[in-house]
Amino acid sequence: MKMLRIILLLFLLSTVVTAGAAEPVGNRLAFTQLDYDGEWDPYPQIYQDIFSFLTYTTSMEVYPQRQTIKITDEMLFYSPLVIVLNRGRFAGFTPNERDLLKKYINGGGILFIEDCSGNKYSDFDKKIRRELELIIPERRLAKIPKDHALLRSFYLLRGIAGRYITNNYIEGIDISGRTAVIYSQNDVFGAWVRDRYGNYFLECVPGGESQRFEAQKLTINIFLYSGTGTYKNDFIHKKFIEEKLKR
Amino acid sequence: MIFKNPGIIIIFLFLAVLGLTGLLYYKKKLPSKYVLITLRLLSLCVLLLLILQPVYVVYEKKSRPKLAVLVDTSKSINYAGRLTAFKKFFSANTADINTYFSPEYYQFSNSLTTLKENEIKNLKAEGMATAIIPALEQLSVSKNYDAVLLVSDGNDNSKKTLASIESIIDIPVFACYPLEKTAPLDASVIDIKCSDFVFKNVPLDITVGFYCTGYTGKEAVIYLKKGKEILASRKKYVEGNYQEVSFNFTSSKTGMETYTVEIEPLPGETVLANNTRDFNIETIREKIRVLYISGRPSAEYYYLRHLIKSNPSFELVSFVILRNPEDVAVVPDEQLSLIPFPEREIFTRDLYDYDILIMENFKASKFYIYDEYLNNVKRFVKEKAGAFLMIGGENAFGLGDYRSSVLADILPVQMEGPEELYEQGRFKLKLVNYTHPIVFLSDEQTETEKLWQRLPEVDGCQRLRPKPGALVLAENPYLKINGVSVPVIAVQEVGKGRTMAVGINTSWRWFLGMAKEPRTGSEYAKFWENSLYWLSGSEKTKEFRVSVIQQKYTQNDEVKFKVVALSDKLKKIKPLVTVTDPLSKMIQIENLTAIPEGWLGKFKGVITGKYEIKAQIKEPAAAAGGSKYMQDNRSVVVANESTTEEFDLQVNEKFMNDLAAFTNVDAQYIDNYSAKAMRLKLKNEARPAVKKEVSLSLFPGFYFAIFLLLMLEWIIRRIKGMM
Repeated sequence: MKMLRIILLLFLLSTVVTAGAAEPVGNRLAFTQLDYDGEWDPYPQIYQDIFSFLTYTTSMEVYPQRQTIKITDEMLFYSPLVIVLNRGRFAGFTPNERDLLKKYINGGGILFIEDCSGNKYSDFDKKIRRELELIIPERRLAKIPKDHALLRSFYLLRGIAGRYITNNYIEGIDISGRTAVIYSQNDVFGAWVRDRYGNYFLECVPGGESQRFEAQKLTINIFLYSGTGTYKNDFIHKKFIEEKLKR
Repeated sequence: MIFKNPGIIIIFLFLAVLGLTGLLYYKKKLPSKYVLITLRLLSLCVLLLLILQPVYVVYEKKSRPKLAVLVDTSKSINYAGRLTAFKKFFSANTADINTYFSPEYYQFSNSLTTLKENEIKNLKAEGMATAIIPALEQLSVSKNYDAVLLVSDGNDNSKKTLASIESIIDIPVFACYPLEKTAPLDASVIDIKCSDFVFKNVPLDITVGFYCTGYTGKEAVIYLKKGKEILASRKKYVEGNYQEVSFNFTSSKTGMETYTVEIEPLPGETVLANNTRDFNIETIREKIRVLYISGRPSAEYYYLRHLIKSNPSFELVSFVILRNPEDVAVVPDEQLSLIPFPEREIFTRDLYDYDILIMENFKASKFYIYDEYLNNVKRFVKEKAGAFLMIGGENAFGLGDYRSSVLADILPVQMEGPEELYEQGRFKLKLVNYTHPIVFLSDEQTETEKLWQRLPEVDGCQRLRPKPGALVLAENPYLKINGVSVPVIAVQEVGKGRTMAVGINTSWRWFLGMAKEPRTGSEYAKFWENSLYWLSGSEKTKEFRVSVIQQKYTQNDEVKFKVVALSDKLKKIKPLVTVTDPLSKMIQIENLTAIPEGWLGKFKGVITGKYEIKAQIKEPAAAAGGSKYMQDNRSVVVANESTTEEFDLQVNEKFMNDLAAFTNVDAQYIDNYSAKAMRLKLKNEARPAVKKEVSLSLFPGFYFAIFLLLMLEWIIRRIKGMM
């Protein structure tokens, strides 16, 4: 754990992420967050930590600035992964926004939606489920199985963490052989929030720091999944992963 | 709604109405309004009766039950003296049948046709099928028969079940079949179970089912042949009537071929023609095997991998580098899903198992893959007819140290050094070659051009230069090196294989960026599929090809084919089309009709066997490639009308017994038949036969009755001052 803290401190001090990088994104991973009518931006700074950790530990190339987009922005259709966070108010989507989201999801995009409230039956949870039913009426959110590529895209995860353990699972909607919508109620991204002195600001309950690290590993896996898809479910990996999971 | 005697009802109705009206009018005891209500109700009742469309049925009185006599005249009746036995049967029983019944005669094979009594002695059994159930279905259209006498060997090959006549046949079917103490000695191929197609060089099991009647304890030899060549043989000791043997077959040549299963003739066989049976198998190229190595996870990898993985024509093995040597491991290895990159196995052994190698944004030297291994990639392409595709990025082409590697010899572009920049900025690709199969996003060239123009911008580009001998398909019109536009897509034939360079890594924008359009991502999919098909040498992307609507035809069918030309230039030139028939006679097809895809031709398949259609066109000078002529050929097979008549020679007593039992009577041998006994078994007298049916909705009396009722109502209202 000590080693881990040193490493985390090192990448914090590193200058991998610099603000004001030049356009365009190219084939790099961008932290694209959805700006909608509601409390959409509970953690405006976390992308720096996440992307620093990502570039420090994986081969992914990232676009160093956060992109915030509205559903009606043309940029939606050039963002393979869009992050939707909420902590509180959510006014719902308009019919036009629903139509665009439907096209985005069906057309190859991935939506990661997170209810950061830690409340299993929050207002956002109710409303976003209803919205998803309206956007994709033919499909429903379903629990993502333990052997899903999302849980092994980089780290081998045996469980689902977050700042809260509201659910011991993540939900998703599969379209044409890929998981196009990922929905978490565990506030996974909340585990990255720091204060101005670099200390973690929000407590992870009930598991404390080990739970925080599991949430951070899950975050990395989500981004890796957006660049690899079901790669880790390929036959060639099966034997290796099964052996590692037995240890 | 059917009335046996509607006249009484009509008269009664009229009388009742008139009587009631008159009585009430005379006595004046009831208030007028009840009279009016009664009249209105009665008129409505008559109207309702008309709506129900009543039918008047006239029945014919019969003195004897009406009998339908069905005689089987299929080919199988020729064996074991069945036809003679049938004629004898009718000669002996016709008088009795006429005494006890009013018979009507029919013959049947494929379908049911009427037969005169005096024609029976000249009957011929030439039908290609024994369709007993369809014949009974056809007979059931007329409801006047009281019974059916079926004279057949029971070898129904209509593939219909008895259950299908349950609801339509409600009269007894007396089934009579010939008595054969010993079945005819015969071996016949009954069934060949195998797939219609086989992958090239992949074994296929063929199971042959055959009858061997009267040869128990003997040995039968079965051959699998192609033409006169024996491909395999099996020996089988005959233990029962039905036998099976299996062949393991591997085809190494693509295309449609006719194969034959043949049982070596056994002594004393009744029919030798049924010892052989032809069948067709199309050998197709196995899946295109793709090895995809990506330098890092990205949208380009995510979408292209998903596309290849989703297409059943491809078999994909991919590796994506998730962690570079310089990346830090913050957890022990067992907590990571990483596997070691098997560079040695890939580049020295496994590579040759694939058709296409893709390197996307992958810097080989970073993983200690040097020229020794890369030389194998060159050999894989030049000598083993493999294909190599490099996709751009900051680890590809010159940036990936490939300018000085052996791969520079086979790549269709010239590269800058490792110090080059990966050019930033969005741009629309400019297509510079409209005839290459890779760029055809549609079969129409004009549509293809429109589709390319509609594609979203890509983001970033490799600094590349055209290579002499290679073909540039698309370029970046805004980026020039020494005044020459930078190629973005280029291809080349290298030795026996093919290579392709794609100097961008944001082709995924053509997929997601088109999500708003109705045809989501189809252009992206088409481009990459075209590329992979072309790289692998698959004929799918041939710009000039023969296409057949179906591959199997029945004798004398009209065989239609298309000569498809993808480019407008080729479409303008009439191809030379020849057809080689099964006797190796070649004819030229003159009657070609121009269609949007190219040309449509047809010919008649008179002889059974394989026909080879060959189309040839002189390539326009402007088109790419080296050969002077373009040609393609396809084969179709013309076969005999399918029948089991000559293959299944046994009398099917079970079917005849089941059929009779199904209608609550017994089946019997023709020798035991008695018309008198059959008449006694018919419990009821002859059912009245329908002579004619008249629709009463056309009878004017009903309309008159309604008029009369309404008129009476009007008169009463008038008299009573209720108007």
